[in-house]
Amino acid sequence: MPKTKRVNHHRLNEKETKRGGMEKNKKQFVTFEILEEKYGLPMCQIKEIIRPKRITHVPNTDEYVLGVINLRGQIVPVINLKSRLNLKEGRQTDRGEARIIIAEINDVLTGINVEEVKEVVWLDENTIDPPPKVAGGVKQEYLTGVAQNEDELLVMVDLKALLFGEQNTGDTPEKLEE
Amino acid sequence: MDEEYLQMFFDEAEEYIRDLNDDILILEENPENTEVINAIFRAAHSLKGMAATMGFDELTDLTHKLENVLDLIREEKIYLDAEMIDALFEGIDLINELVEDIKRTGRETTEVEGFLVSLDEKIAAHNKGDTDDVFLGGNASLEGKEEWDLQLTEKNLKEIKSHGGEEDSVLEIRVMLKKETVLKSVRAYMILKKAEELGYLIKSLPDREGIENDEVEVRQEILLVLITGLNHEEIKEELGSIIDVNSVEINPLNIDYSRLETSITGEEQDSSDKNSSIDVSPTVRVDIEKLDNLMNMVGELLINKTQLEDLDIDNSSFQNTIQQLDRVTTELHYTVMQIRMVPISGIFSRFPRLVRDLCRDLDKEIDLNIEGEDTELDRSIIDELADPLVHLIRNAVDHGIEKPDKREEKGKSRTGIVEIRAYQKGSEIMIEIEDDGRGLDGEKIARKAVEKGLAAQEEIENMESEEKLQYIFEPGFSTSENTSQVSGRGVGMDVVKKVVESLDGQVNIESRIDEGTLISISLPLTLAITQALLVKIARETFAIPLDDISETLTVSPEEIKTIRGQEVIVPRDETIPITSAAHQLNIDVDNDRYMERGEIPVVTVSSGSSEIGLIIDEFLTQQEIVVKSMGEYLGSVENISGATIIGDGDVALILDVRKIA
Repeated sequence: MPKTKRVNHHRLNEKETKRGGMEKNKKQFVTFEILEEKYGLPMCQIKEIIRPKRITHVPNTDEYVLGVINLRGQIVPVINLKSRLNLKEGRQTDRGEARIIIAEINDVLTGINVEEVKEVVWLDENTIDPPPKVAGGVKQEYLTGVAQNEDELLVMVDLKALLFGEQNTGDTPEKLEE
Repeated sequence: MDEEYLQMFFDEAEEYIRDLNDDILILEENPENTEVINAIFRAAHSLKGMAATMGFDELTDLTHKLENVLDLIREEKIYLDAEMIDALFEGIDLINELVEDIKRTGRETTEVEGFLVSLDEKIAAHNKGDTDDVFLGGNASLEGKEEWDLQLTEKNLKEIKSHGGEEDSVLEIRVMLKKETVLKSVRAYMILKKAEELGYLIKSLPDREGIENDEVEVRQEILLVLITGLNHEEIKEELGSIIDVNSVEINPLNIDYSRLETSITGEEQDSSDKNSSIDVSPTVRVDIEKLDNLMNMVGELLINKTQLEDLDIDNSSFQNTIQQLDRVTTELHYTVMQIRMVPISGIFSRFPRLVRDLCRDLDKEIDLNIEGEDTELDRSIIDELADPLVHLIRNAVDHGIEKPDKREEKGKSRTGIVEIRAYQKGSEIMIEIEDDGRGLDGEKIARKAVEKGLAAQEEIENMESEEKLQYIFEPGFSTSENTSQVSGRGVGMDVVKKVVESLDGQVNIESRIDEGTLISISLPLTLAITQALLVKIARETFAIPLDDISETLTVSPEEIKTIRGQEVIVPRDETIPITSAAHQLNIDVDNDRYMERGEIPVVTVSSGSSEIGLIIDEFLTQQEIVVKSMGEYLGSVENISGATIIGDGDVALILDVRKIA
């Protein structure tokens, strides 16, 4: 399979791109919203962003695994980020804006279901602060940091830890609730 | 360095190393087998040539040294005993390590100097003593006496036979140059040239090519084998007239043609001694990745074909074309699969050496029987399988087979037997490893499992002995009370199981105390494409491989009986338990829903001897499916063996019936 990096650029903030492209230490981040909180993923981990397609449910998997999709002949699992992060179900946003972000980590493709992709922003790596204990209801272990972007707090999600990291034993929220 | 050449070098080096291992094992059995010595010599020689061409000095030195040793063995100048064989094996291991070094780092990092020195000592110690020709170590002697004997190969013999006339005689001529000769190679060249005028020059030492290319150091003595009609005096006069020639000594050679008759076939290989690089092979090496790509494309093509078939156009020329397409794609698929198949001998051929070494280390006597090494498996399976099989063999030798004295006490023969078998059974390949050793104690294993917290006491109480054995496949389980160096290395049985299951296979163990242990691995013949029945289960489409299906039937609710709480159907006097497929998959559906219908579709599936009926929602179609992995993220999902893409582009999951049935 040819390795092409495809990213849906239609949401790209052009002004930001041009200015940022000139400078070093700047990285692109895709931002999206869950429950009115803004999150960011580094562009370098994202292969493409697709519109929702039929997801085949896979039995005997964790609850946050929505199932698998056919991505040009390849079987790609899709997870629900909201439930993976143990965020409570809230107001459903307009279905029309939902997207599947295809992340490529350690050569493994994984789809991440989000309600809406906002924009692509350039951020100076130096402006990213280390993660606090909890940000946007997400625990520290799944965060790479938080950043200030145009008066908004952007929560940076650590996909590596989220998808392949060791599960922290003992004190996951679900268990606390039990 | 050119990647492509490097890869070729690795491939060939691996082959030579394997050949060397095999042949030295044969040599150990039959030390008198000159043919096998020649074969070993040739392999070492070819390796040396390759290493030298690629500029790997350590490898060149090492192979050169081994070549010398083999030459001494061939000429019966040194004893060949177990110690010497060990030394040869050690040398081959070092070659292997060097090749691995190069593979990993591009450089030779393994130390060979120590081995070379100890080899010299061994050579000295194995000197037969009737000749002082054998060198006593050091580099100078390497190029020294030991090469000063002309060995006629079968090819030479044939040449002599075809070129020698009735009147001709075959002579061995020894020309000595004066000690102070400066331009020895020029003189040697002149001697060779003169000799060629005098008759037919079969062989010379040093040889002409070496002299011309300035590759050999010409010493005082030059040896020739010449077919000529001239008498000794004439030759002496002709050669003696060359400047710097001190003396000419002529001995007639008695040629033993019988060697030629018995080994005509060996002749072709002999020529490869020098010309291996121009041997034209009818095969090509292909990068496995390219084959995978091809395989993927064939898979896509099959999907497209199915989509076309689904169009259901009632037009005869369309139908004809579809049929044609169907035939071609089927054949294409078959061909690609065939290309990917390689014989399992690639792995099996390592075992004789492995078992031999283990026996020596552990003081055991074992006969290793290998069956079915021609059995072919998909290349990707073979690659994965090597380490688990090595582990199983190690276990069999180390933990299975007892020491000879112990065996005698038990009334067994001193020599233990380890058998490795591979064969095809239906759409599966079976690999079995059996030993007649001490066997496994189910009770002990179960106790240990409880100790290690792998099982609860209540759990094991009513277990069959066979079931208890399965605990050895659990991670964190190791039966051996004093783990020896041999099988304590690296992987455990849990890894064996994991690898086999990742290949969509299963591993099983049977054992009886003091009778032996049998480990059987079943693997799918091919991983990629299979015939399957598509069914609907709880609104999702699932594929069930046809190989797993015994039959499909529809039953009415009245035909479902309950025996001891288990629902069964009884088609043709046979009682088959039935269950809802959705239930087995932990999908939440109302079980009674099925009972409300007049006709219930059931697929009976079997695994091994057990059979079960699965209630499904609906039969769809039967078609070829391309088996795809669910990916690393999901890993192995219970009762799902993979996924496939069906005609409409959706994903259908493939049911793994083995744990259900």
